[in-house]
Amino acid sequence: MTIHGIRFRQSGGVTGLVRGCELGSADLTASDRSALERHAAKAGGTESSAAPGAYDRVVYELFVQTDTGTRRLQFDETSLPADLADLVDRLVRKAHPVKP
Amino acid sequence: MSCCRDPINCILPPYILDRLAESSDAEVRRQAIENIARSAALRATRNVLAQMPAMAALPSPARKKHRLVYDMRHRGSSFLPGRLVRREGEPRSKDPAVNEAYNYAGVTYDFYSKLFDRNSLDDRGMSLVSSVHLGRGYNNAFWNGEQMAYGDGDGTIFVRFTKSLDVVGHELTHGVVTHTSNLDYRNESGALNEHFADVFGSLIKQWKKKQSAAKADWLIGADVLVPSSTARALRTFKNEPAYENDPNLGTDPQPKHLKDKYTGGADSGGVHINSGIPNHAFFRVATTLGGSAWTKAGRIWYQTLLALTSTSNFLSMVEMTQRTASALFGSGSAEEKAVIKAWQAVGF
Repeated sequence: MTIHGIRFRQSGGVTGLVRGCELGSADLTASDRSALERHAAKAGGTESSAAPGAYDRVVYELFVQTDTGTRRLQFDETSLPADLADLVDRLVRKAHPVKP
Repeated sequence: MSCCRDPINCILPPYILDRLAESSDAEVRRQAIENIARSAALRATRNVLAQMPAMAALPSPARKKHRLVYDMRHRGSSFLPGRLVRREGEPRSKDPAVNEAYNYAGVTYDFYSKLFDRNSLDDRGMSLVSSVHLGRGYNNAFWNGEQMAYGDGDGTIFVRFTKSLDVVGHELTHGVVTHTSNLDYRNESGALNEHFADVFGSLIKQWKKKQSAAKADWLIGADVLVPSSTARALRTFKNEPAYENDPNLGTDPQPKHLKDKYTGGADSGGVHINSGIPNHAFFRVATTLGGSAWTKAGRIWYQTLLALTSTSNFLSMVEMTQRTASALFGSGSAEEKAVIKAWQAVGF
């Protein structure tokens, strides 16, 4: 699977703010790529995880652009896999306000 | 900004744990197997608690107001609740976040007790557990199914989240929702969950300040913004944006009419976005009826919260508030008419 880039969106939390950014292929490290490939390859390319019974958690969505289409990954802040934590942290820092 | 900076707060992917469980190193193998068991137990516990919230409630010793405040000392949420720093009846702390969490939990308890004869979030006197100083520069507060947790804010966009009584009331009301209708946290039912948290968060503040519906600011989270912010609040019940073209916040995405309802997948189907529609309807009911918003509009909404189910949607809400207004104040009453007109004004 070839990854061309990712579109990131952060939403939820009690603040309800929607922020986002994009990252090109050149900005991804080798470990970013292998983690994204692994998660994007799962269950039809859509991975979603959230803690039940928990409210106002921040939600992260990663739209992974690949040579076979866009795969959507979704996590909340407590279910974020460790191998995506550094990437999401960089995306959170780069993100700016966007329309939902 | 991310709570997950703390690596222990993030869950190791199962495939790595599986690989480690087959390690030739006995100690690595033992730790991996323990981790797998702990993760599975945690997932199972969370799933059970989501279905049976009463199991998560920590009963208070005397089944009455009982507050516990913990200090997270900037650690991640896997360390909740943290170190106990103030319990019911103990003197003030030197830490303002501890005192705010304690005092505002008390105001919220008194609000539900005096106005609705409700004994804590579960109506069975559960302890109100709050943890402050979660993470570093953490821009959020949440209800995790068992307790409240508050970040300190990054100091650039937000300050500490205990500072707003309406935010504390919002988080605690998520607990009341959990123990009543338990509205599913996605799409319209999730937007209603957020709506009730905002409504009672605002009413708790109005009640504490003894404000009429006409005098109230109808804002959520005004006190958690840094003083230099161009935003007035996180949300407003009025038909106007709470912020516009703010460099950090952008433009308030909340619709105030059904025709503008958000239909995308962000924010669990727009739970913090589409709550703007019922929020504005509530504002219209309260300001039409006048006086204190908690006496009539609040009563209708509280009884409605008790009557809804986990899958209720906007239409169920419209029907139930009309039915409740009629039952409480009479068919054809001014209260019932105000409810009908308010929902019509937002597109129903």
